[in-house]
Amino acid sequence: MKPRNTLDAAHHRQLTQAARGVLRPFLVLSLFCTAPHANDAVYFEPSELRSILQLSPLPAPPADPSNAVADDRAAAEFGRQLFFDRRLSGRGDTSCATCHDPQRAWSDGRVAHDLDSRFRRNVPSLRNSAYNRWYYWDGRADSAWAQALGPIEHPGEMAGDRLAVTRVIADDPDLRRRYENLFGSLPKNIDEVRHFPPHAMPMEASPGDARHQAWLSMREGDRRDSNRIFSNVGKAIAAFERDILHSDSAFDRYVAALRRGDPKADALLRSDARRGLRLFVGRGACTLCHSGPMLSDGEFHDVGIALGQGMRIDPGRHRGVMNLLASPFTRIGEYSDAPEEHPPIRYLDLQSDQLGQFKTPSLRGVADTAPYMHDGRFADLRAVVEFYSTRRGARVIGHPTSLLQPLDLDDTEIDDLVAFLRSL
Amino acid sequence: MTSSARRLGLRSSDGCPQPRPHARIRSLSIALALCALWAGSAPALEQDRLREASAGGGAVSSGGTYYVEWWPEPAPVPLNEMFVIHFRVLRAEERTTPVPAAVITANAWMPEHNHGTSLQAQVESKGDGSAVGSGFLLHMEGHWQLRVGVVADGTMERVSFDFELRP
Repeated sequence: MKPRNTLDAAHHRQLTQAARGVLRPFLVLSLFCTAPHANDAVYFEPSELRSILQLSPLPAPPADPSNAVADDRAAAEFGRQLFFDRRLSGRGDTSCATCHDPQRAWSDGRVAHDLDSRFRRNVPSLRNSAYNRWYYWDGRADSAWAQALGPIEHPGEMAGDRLAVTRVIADDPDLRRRYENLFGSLPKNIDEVRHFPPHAMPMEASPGDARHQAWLSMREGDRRDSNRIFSNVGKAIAAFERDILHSDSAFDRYVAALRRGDPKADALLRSDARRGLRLFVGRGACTLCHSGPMLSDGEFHDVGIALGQGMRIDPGRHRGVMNLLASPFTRIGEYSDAPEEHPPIRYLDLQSDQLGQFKTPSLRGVADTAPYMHDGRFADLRAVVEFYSTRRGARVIGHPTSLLQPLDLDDTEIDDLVAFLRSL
Repeated sequence: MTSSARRLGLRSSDGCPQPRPHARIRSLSIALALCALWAGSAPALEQDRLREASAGGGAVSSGGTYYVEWWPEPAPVPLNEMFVIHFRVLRAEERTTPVPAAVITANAWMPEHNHGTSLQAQVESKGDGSAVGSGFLLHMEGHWQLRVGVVADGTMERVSFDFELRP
C-alpha cells in the first residue's frame, strides 16, 4: 500500500546543500536557531524530511483480490449506475450519492445516526477509499464491496433489502444485461416468488420483522444465491468508487519538487503551511497516527472522544470487530472471489482495548469534508487542532497512554497547522 | 610558568618540552568540546542501534537456557504493513544445537504507549527448534519490543528485543 522510502536523491541533495560537511549536531543547532516566523524560510531536520517524503506521492490503489471486477471498466460503469440509482432504497428516495455527494467531496457535510440510532456518525468521504484496510469509523467491513452493502440495508440510510435489490436488477433489462455480462446468468428461478421473495434479509435483531421471516423461509441455496447477487452489486459499486481519488494537492506538488531538488519548491506551498508541516512531522507528532501517503495508519485509536450524547460510550471498534467477525461478506468468506491466505481479518480478535476506538481518518482533502471526528463534533479544522493542542474535554476510556499530551500551540501555530491541513 | 598556568594546576618538569599554557587550555577546550559532542551523539548512536535492530537479532533468554534468534520478512520490519517473523531456538551454551521441543510465543508491544498490535499474530512452532510468526502489523512508528516466550522441558523462559521503527 505504501512505498517504503529511504533517503532518496532529493533528500541527500537537500541535506548536503544544507549541511555542507558540517557535523550533524551543529546542523540541528542551526535549525533550532532559525526563528520560525522570521521569514518565509522553513528548514527541516533530517528526520522531519524523512517523514515528509513518506507522506507523498499516493501510489496506485492496492489490488483487491477479493473483488474479481475491481479494475473492470464495465463493472465500474455498472457500479456508477447502481451508485446513483434510488430504486436500491426501501422508499425509492435515496441512493448512495445522497450521502456521498460528488459535489460535496463524496460526503454530505452532515452527521447521521448509526448503530440503532444511538450514536452519531459523520459520513466519511469516499475519496481514496480503495486504499482502506478497514471500512467505516468502526472498521466493520474489510473491503470496499462489503462496505457498499451496509447502507443499502441500514434502516437509517437506504432501508432497502437484498432481495429487493435482486428484483430491481432482474426486472430492469439494461441492469440485468450488464449484470449477467459481468457475473453470469441470474438463477433460472429468479422470478419465482417462493424461491426469491420480493423483500427479504437477515435481521437477527428484529426476528419478528416480515423481511426476516421471509429470509428464514427461503431455501439455503436460494439464500446463498441472493447473497452472491448482493455481493456482486457491492463489487460493481466498489469498482466505481475505486476511481474516486484525491492525489494531486498543493502538498503533493511541493513534495514532488523537494524530491526533484527544485530550488523553487517553496513557491508551491505557502510559508504558513510549511511551518504547519514542520509541526505536523515534528513537535505535533501527528505522523504517529496520520502516517504514510494516506496520512492515516488505517488503524484505530481512542483519542478521548468516545463519550457521546447522554454520556453514553460509543463502543466504536469493539462493536465493529464483533460485526465484522459475524459478517458473511469478508475477504475470507465464501463471497470473496479469492480468499487470501493472510488477510488482516484472519488475525483479528475482540479485545477490550478496542472499546471507544475509532479509525484514524485520512487527511487527504480534509478541508472539504467538515464536520470532523467520527461524530462530527467539530465544525472546522481549527477546532480539531485546538482540541489536540489543549486536550480540553478529552476522556480516554481505553488503555491509559501518555501518547496524547497537550501540544500547547500558540495561535500562530494553530493557524499554521490549519494552513497545512488545507494544503492536503 | 605563568600565574595562569599555576592556577590551572599545570606543572613543569625537567627534560620534557613544556606545552605553552595557552596551548594546554586549547587542548582542554577541545577535549571538553569532544566530550560534549560524544555526549550529544550517544543517544543518536543508541537510536541508530535500535533502528538497525529492526532487522532482527538474537539474545539469551531470561533463565540462560536458550539463545533465541529472530528475523523479519521482509527485513527490516516495515511500518504499517503485514510481515512474517522467523524464529530459531538454540541451546545457549554453544548456540548451535536446536531445541526441537521448543514452543514459541511472540507478541509486539509499545512500552511508551502502553499498547500492543491491533492484530493478534500467530506463531507456529515447527518441531525442529524453529517457528514462523504471521500476522504481525506494527502500525505506529516508535519504540517497539518483540516479546518472545520459549516453552520446553516444562519450563518457560522469556526474552525481549527492543527496536526502533521509523519511516
